[in-house]
This record gives sequence, structure tokens and C-alpha cells, in this order.
Amino acid sequence: MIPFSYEEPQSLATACSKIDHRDAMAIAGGTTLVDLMKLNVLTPKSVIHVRKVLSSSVETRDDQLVIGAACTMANLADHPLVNGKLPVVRQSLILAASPQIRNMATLGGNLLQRTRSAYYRHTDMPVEHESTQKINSADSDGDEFGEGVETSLLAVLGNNGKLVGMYPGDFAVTFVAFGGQLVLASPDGERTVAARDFYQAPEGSFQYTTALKPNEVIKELRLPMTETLKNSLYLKIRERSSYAFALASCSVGLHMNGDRIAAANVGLGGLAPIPWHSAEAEQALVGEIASDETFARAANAALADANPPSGLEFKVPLAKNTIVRALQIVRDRGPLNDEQLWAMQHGRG
Amino acid sequence: MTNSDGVRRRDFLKGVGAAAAASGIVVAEDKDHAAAAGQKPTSRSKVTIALTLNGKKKSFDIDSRTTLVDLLRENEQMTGTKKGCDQGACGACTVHINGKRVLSCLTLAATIDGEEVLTIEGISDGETLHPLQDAFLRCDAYQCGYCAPGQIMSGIACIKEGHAAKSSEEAREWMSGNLCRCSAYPNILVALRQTAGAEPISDPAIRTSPVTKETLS
Repeated sequence: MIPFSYEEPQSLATACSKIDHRDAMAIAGGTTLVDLMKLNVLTPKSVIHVRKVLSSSVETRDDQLVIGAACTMANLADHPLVNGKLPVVRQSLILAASPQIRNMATLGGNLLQRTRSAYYRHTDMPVEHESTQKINSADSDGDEFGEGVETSLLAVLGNNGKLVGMYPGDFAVTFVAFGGQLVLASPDGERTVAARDFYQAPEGSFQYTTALKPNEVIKELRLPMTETLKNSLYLKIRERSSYAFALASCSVGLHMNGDRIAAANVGLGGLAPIPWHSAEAEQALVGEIASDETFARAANAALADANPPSGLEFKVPLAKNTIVRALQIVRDRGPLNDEQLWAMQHGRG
Repeated sequence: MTNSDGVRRRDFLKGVGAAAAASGIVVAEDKDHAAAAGQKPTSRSKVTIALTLNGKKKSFDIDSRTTLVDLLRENEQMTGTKKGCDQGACGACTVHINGKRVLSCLTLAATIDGEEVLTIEGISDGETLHPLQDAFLRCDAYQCGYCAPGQIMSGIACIKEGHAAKSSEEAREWMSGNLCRCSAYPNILVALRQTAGAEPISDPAIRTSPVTKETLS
């Protein structure tokens, strides 16, 4: 780890004025930053502690769930406004990481977690070259990115035909799917940005960028308490039953009017360089009868533009089946409690 | 975030090729020295923090880079807390901060000034072991023992959180942050659930029925 100066500002405004997200980085829980600093992937000259100058409260305001950015994943998952009330929110938190990490990681930091791809996590990897390399292109001048490329944590959707790192998080998938908003604080005041606009797919870089400017810090998360949020599920498919990143995951919520779908939210994880909101899937669902055929059409619409790098072709049918199964579970069983979730995670139900 | 990180540091290696780069890990010290050459530690890279460590108030003058696991093991010679992966994947370094289980390898010590830390050295009452320590002995809940301090610290929290006494699936889920390379999971689970009161206290290796030709076949 490269030496750095450490500061604990007494106010959020002071903290914001010091942070530029490049040489001066914010730390709250540290679960991403400390890890990447040990690898010398991130080498800030100064680290600014923001956990103590940010709120960690959870409350409802104007039909919105308002979450202080310093709230930990564990505390949000266990909060009485969430536990037993907003299934997809709790599930996308408690199916992420481990209990220890969820006790440390704040929501603000969780939204900003970096890709887990080895091409980002290893300082020897020529990431710049990678990001401009077209997938399976015939005019490839070398074979170093063809056979033998480590594709497991690369994006298959929204990759613009490039080898780019996959966004690994879970909660952010729910946050974009259900129309979350971010309040960003800076010395000049505050602004609100929709989560769907906050994440920007990579253009010439290996992973996503965000709308966060230098001197801005995520202060608050807001999630509208829609009907779909109450009848929802986070389905996470991974290589082991717990403590692993998603191969494919799906945040879904349905609001039914008789046997027709009045409103729907669909988000996808483990697939794209950003937490993925599928407007195409939602469009295929709304106004239709909640049949398996409708669900299959929605899944096909969600993956229509998939462009998997060599070796990740399996993710396309996997993602489609994940979407269909998640929608079926919400339709047939409604919201799941924790016990049903563990049973499902361990191969029953 | 403008995500400009990760470009400059890789310029010099452009064109090396993924296959070659993946074949070996560059010696970390060399990279540290090269990168640190133009960036000397400043006075502000030293910090002073106070902790309540296993009930005792202590003050530490540390390098800002110090993680909690290094502070415990290197500064305090408290080697009960184990450093496994050092990247938040294995749980061997689990301790409690303000009563909650966390990973000490990803905790920058500077960020926990004024807080309460409980480690494996602080859970027994003198010579009387914590009930979960006792259960680990009784149930033989380890082979090499390296993960055991982390398992026990995580287990104590898991019991307190109420996740150990209901279904064994739930207990397994909420212990999934602690890996055991010897795969002693069945006995760890029994030790945890016995301590939580979900199962009667017994040695899982001792049969309740006599060994006969039939039970051996």
C-alpha cells in the first residue's frame, strides 16, 4: 500500500471540499477501498473519512424510503421499514457478501463498488488495451484476447461490443430497477440524480463511470415505495449457495390487476457493466396476462442485445431462465420470507 | 467518480499481453518501492487512535496504512486473530467492533478511533472458556485450527443475532463468511447450534448406541 495522509473532517462540507475521487478518496466502511489500495490498484494521496459526517438513518418521507449514505448494509436489511416489508430490498442486501462485510459496508460505498474482474484487480493487466478490444472480432491483430482471456467477470450485456468489467453488486440492481434516486452533496449544495442516470456504461474505459463529480459525495439514497416494491424478489444465481458474486441475478416486482400486470420492475445483475435496468422487459410485461409466455417474451426482450465474450455464452440462457423463474415465483408464491429464501438457496423449493 | 484510475499505472505495461501478465505475480515490494519513490510519507501519514481493546483502553501511534489485523498482531503481539487471505474473502480475521462482527483485514485502524474491539483473546473469563470455545473442543470443530478464532468470533455474533438457533440452513447461511479449508463445517455447525441451545450438548463422535457388527457394516 502506498503511503497516504488520513483525515477526519468535522463536517460533510469540509469533507466534500477535500475529496476529488482521484488523489483524495472517501472512505466509509473501507471494504472496497482498503482491498484495492492493498493491491495498489487505487493509490490515493489522501484518504478522507466520511462515515462520521454522513447520516445513517432510515426513514420514510413523502412515500419514499430515505436512507443515509452511511447506513450499513446489515442495518438497512434489518430495519423495521425494510425487514418483512420490502422483500427485494432485504434480499438484495442479505444475499450479498458476508455478515461481516455487511456490518462494515455502507450503502454509499456499496453503490460504488468496482468490478471484480482480474483485469482491474491486477496492476499488471493492460486494461487500456482491453477496453478497446472488440469481442470476437475478425480483425483482431493478436490472439491474446481470444483464447485464454479470463472472461468470467466480464459483461455480456450493455458492453457495446467491448471486453469490459461486470458490475458485481446486488443492492444497486434493485436500486436502479425500482427507480431509486441519489442525493449528492457538494460545497455548492445538493443535487438529485436518478440511479439510472448515475451509472454510465464504459466508453473507452474498462468499467463504468458515474455522475459523481469531484467534491461530490453520496449523501442520501431515496427509493419510492411503490406497489411493486412490496410484491418483489431478488433471485441470485451463483456458483456456490452463499458468499459469491452473481452469475446472473434479477430484481423483480409485480403489481397485479386481476390476472394482468399493472406495473413491473426488472433489474439484472452479474451481466452488465452497470447495474442494469431492463425497460424492455418491463414493457413486455405491463398490460399483459402474467403467463409463462409473457415472462419468456420479457426475458427475450431483456437479453435481445446481449453480446457475450467467448466463454460466457451460457450467461444468456442463464439470465433468461433467471428472469422467468423470478417472475414465476412472485406470481405463484408472492414475496418470500427468509426461511423460504434459505430453503431455495440450499436447493429446496 | 470519473474513473480515471487504473490508466496511468498501467501505461508502462501496455502490450505485455494478458497471458504473460497472468503467468506470475510481480514481487509486491518492488512495485511498492517504485511507486513510493516519488511519494514520501508525510507527517500526516501517522495517526494516533484510542481503542478499548478487550476492555482495556489503549492508545496507538500508527502508520495510516495499518489495518486492524496488523495492529493486533504486529503492534500488540495478539496473534489469536489470524490473517488468512487479507482481502476479505475468508473470515479468519473476524473480530467484533462495538459488538458487531467485522473483518479486521479490511478495517483501516484509523477509522475506528474511540471504538470497542473484542478479539478471541478477550472472550474467556480467565481460565474459564467461552461456551463456544468449549463446544469447539467438545465437538472437534476444526482440524488445523487456523480458521477457528474467526469461526468462534463470527459464531458468537451469529448466536447473538439469533441466526444460529433456528434452521441449520439459516445458521450455515449466516456463517458463510468464514471459510474452513479442512472443511470441518459439519462439526462447526454442531458446536454453534449446541451453544445456541438448538441441539443437546454432546460429543458428536460418541455414539449413543453400542457399536455392533450391524452398525459397522
